[in-house]
Amino acid sequence: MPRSVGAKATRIVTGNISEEEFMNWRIKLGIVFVIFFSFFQSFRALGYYDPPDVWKRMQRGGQVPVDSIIIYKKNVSCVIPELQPDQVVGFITSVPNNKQQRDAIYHMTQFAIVPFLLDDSLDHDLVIAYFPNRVKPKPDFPAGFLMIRQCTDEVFLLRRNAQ
Amino acid sequence: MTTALLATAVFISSVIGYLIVSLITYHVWGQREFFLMRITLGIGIGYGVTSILSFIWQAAMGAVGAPYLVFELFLTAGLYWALRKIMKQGGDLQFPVSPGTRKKSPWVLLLQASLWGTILLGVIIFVFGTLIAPSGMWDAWMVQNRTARFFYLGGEYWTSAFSPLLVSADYPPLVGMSIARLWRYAGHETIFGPVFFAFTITAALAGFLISAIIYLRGHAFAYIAGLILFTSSAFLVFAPAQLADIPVAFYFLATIVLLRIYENNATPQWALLILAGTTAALALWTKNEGWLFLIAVFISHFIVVLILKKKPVQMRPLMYFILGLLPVILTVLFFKFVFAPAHDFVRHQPDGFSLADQLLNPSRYLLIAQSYLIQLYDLTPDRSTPLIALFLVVLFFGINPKRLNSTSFISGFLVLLIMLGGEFVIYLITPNDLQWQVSSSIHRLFLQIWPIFVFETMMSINMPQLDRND
Repeated sequence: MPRSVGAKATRIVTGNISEEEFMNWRIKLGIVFVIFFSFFQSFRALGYYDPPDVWKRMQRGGQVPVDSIIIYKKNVSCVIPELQPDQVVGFITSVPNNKQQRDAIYHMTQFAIVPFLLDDSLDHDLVIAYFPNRVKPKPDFPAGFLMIRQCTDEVFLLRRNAQ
Repeated sequence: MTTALLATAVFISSVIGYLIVSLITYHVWGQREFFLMRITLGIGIGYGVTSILSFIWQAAMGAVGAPYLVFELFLTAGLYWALRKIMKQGGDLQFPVSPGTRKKSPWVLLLQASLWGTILLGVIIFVFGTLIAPSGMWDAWMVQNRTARFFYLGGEYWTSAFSPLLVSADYPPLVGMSIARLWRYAGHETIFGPVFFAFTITAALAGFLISAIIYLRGHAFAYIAGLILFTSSAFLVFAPAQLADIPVAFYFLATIVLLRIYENNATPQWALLILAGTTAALALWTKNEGWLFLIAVFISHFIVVLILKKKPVQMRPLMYFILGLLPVILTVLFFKFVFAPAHDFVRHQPDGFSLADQLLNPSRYLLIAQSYLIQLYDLTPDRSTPLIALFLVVLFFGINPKRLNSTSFISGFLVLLIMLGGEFVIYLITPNDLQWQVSSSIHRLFLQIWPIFVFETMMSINMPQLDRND
């Protein structure tokens, strides 16, 4: 590389060049666009996470953050001591058969009872029942099952009646 | 205490990755230069290697406990010893050092300051996202974190993670294994495990893209690349979501960048091909989309060599790529054949499903094509990968026809094209409700290849005033 070109390249890499040499208006406009659009999109992403709600949570201070998954996991945790290793547990819920809602509860229950497995049926000796309070009146437990644990007023563990 | 232990776990895997990268690339990059590129690459490779090692350990021993953690320390020491030995034999190789900055143009300073500003915003968004949903988004807790819990809590029944009773149980376990490993260091299950993983891999991706552009085109381009990366609000929203999309995006990007650096070198640097093979294989250890990516890399290579260059395929570069690929892909195959159940597509095919009907239905083509089109300009915060902005960037900065016609650019572009085409076919044949499938996943598929789009754009634009290579 000729000496002058090398020197210019060095000045370009370091940005140590005059503004006239540096760029024309189109590139300046491009830089302004990239900066503006990047901040615009970043602030939209920030807005997605609802800053006022986060601010409220932060004001509570010092707590480990909590969401519905963590709360549900805690609610279901009382069934764990009743389960045997390698056990598959059944599942029933009164959540209306809206696919997304019911799926969410089912998968949250599975997540909560790991390392045990959940099966969306009543063909098991033990069954986890989720009967949310918003469904009124609460349905009866399925025939042939007895409640052996009540974790909360919504989550129950049922055992198949031997008879 | 938990934070310190998690940081230790991340530090150890990053050092392992960094030492592996340094060992393989010692004769390419030396041991002093390009630190940011080696450490960011090392973070990703470190997670990949430690997840594979802990998976093999768990498969062989039944449980991963303190002995494995000691093994990692010995591994780190061994790699350090090997690097020292190579350094002694090779001497302190001198590589071209980037000139130090003196007085920068105000425009470059503005770019630099803006990049730092968006990085700061990105960190704030990550914290906010974590406070709102510490368990991550739906797929994160339902698949990745669930798998991690099986690995960590399962004891001898850890293989229940792959039970056919579970959805997506065939997903490759890099993320799950990495989170379980973090919990082992912490000594208990903590929500900060997945949070640490998500934060470090996102930071590594952004850092690697920026450092790669510094390496290939200089600082000003790198600042612009970083800013463009953050124009995807979906990237920022999904960072704290703990999904596998950002990790897989990291490995996609790393492969493309390493292949580009290899092709740009006048003399063949086989080490880069070995690393590229490893990162490509780690992509399929992270998500099933990795298979499509690997196929796309091979097809684009053959098209470029056989059709564009009109040369016979050389076996030596392929062999080096496969050398890097092999250890990981063998583990993936071991996982797929021994542990993983069939894919949900196969297990949950509805009655009366007909592949021919799906392929011959024009409304399916239309729906998918429309969704692809919308994705180009969609600015919804959790869906936006604004490819339209890349067109505007090209309009503003101009395009270098020489770079556009280079085989390395065409090769990268072909990978993207094949990936998009492949996903199109997958949508066509999915047995799930197409509307639901497309709307719930298309933005994530674009997010996975978004960093490659940014990289290719930065490699093709024309700003000779700022270009270190022109």
